[in-house]
Amino acid sequence: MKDILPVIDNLEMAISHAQNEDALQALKEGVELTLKGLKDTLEKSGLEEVKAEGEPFDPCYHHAVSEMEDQSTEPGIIVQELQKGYTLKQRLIRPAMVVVCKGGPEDPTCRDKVPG
Amino acid sequence: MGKIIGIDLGTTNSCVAVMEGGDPTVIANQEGTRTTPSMVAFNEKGERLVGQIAKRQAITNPDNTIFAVKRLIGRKFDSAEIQADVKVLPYQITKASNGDAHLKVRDKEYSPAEISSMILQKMKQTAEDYLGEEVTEAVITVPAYFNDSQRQATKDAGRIAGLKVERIINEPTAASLAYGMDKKGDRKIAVFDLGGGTFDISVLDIGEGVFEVKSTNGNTHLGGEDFDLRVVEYLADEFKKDQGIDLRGDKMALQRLKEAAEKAKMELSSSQETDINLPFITADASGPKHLNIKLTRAKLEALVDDLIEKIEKPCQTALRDAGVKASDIDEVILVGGMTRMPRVQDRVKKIFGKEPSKGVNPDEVVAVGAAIQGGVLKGEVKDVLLLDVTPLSLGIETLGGVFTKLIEKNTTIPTKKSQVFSTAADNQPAVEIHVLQGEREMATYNKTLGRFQLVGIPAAPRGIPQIEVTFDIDANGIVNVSAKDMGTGKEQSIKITASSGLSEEEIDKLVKDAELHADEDKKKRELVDARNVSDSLIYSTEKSIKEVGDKLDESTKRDVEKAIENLKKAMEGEDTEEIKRLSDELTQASHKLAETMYAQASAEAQTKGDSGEPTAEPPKDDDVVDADFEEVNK
Repeated sequence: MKDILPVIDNLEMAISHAQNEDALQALKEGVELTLKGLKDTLEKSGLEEVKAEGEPFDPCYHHAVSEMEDQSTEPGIIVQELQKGYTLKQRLIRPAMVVVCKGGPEDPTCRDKVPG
Repeated sequence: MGKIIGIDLGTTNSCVAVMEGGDPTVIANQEGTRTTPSMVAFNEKGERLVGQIAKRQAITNPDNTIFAVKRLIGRKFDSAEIQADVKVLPYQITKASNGDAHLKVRDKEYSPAEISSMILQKMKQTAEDYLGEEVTEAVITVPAYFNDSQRQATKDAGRIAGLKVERIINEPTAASLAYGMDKKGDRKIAVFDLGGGTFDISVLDIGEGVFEVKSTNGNTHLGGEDFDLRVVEYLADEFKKDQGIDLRGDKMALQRLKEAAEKAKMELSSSQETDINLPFITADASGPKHLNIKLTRAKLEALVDDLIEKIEKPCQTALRDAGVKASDIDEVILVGGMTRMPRVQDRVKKIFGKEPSKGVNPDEVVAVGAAIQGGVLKGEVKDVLLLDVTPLSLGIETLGGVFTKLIEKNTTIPTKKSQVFSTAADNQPAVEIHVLQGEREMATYNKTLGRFQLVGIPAAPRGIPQIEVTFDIDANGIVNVSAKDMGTGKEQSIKITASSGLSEEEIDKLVKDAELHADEDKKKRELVDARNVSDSLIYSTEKSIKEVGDKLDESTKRDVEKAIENLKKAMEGEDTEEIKRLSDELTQASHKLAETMYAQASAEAQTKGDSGEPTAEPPKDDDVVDADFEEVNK
């Protein structure tokens, strides 16, 4: 718990700085640093991001919320990650929320792969 | 000896528990959750995915992702229930050769029992991982209103999964067990079960360790998902009002809304208000948009008011069917996640006039009860005896198309009942046993479970052969019917199996029809009864005339024959009163006949007794079973 407290401090600082519009760039950097700090802390405890975009869809780690036509990649490949997923010590604590490539009618190979 | 696990095989979620050191333990699955979505999917590699994993990929594979298979199990494809589901379920439902509803996935046909078995296998695996040993035996719960074929199919599912199903028990019974209701002496209990997708209310009678389901009712399409949807709609409406963007068109936003809605609903069970915070929910040209809406408990309650309204009527009906008043109920038990909502609890309290019990986790209580039952069977738990009931009356068709009940509805099972029947015609060589289920007085309005013939009955006058018909229902609700000719010892029997499927709607309809047609049925029944009485009266009178022969004076004989003729004519009509009146007339006329016979008897210094009642009957060529019977044992 104590390790996450700085995140609160930093975000509070970010908000207070946001009142000054000129500081936008600095604000962005600050938030980025905060985020990195948080991730480093959590990684030390065994937290890992789930790989998603460009990977084949795997319901063990990914939760599909929609499908999308995309000629640039194979059906069943994740084309977009909407929310990151995480594992803690190799155990999934939240699946990544993803959009999966759907075989379009222009791509006959897709159809073959999806019988019925 | 291994453990017997208890499995709550639910419509939306399933749960497994086991007895450990005398206490039930709910087991978390591989993914770390204590309940598992009742979902099965087949991916394009032909792999089978079960539970949470199946749920996550559902959107990419809707045709091959099976959920709510419990709505299909043990039902006929043509039943109204299935026909309604076919329209809303995304996967393909087909008609099997035996008329059952099956599923077609990736060109392969599956029975609902097979799909259920895959969920059961996952539950079995979960238990094995935890216990570190093989598990081969289970107790599985089913809704109290499940009929023979649904129970049988559930049992089959267990067998396919490699589990010996030691007992199928009713969900409300399991819940009562989990609350230790068996230890509190005689009481009447209402089990209120509002789950993810279905609502069930049951009234139980518990005494001396015996659980008896008195009545059940509910709504098969009312549950937590409907409540969540209301919150989602509200949030989307509010956001649209505020920002002009409809989140319902955005899959990702909708998914986040659903999760947030469910979470908010849960939080409002313990607090008065909650903030729904979804930063960056969407964006337009002006930049990112955040959703930040405060939802109060009062607002939530207003949103779902009509849903909560829907729980009252089934409760009242269940009480009425059980023949009790709300004030007679000693305890009310809450089952299902939705019963955590204070407004639901208030409503339950209002309906039954007492504070409901809520000590056991409502998502797990049924599985816990099933595990306790497993413990009972293994001898780990003592002093509990479980008895469930038949949902509808069972019996056979007798003379005149009358439905003669052998086992009344709500009789505790296992049970066995016999009655002795006879033939309706002289020299009748066979009887047909037409097994029926239902509440109507006439056979044709009830559901046929099966029929068979007992042949080879020796030639004898009607009413002489004694055919003992026995109904035997085992602890799992499976029915065996046998008929035995007491004279020859010949026996025939039938096991009522999966083909007996009655849909829940059919049951409802049967019960409703029975209420609706009670009067009409009663009249028909009276007519048939009057005809049957007249029929045997005529038969025995004619027989007596023959026996007395020419000793009878002509005028008496004429009177009696005239009365018989009149009665026969009346029997062709539908006027019950007229038949009864003429029947009485014949009885009067035959008294003279009896006098003559007695006089004759004493004169001949008693040669033989008589059959008590008057005379003969027109020959009947049918294999109808007579309604004359006496009860032999219970």
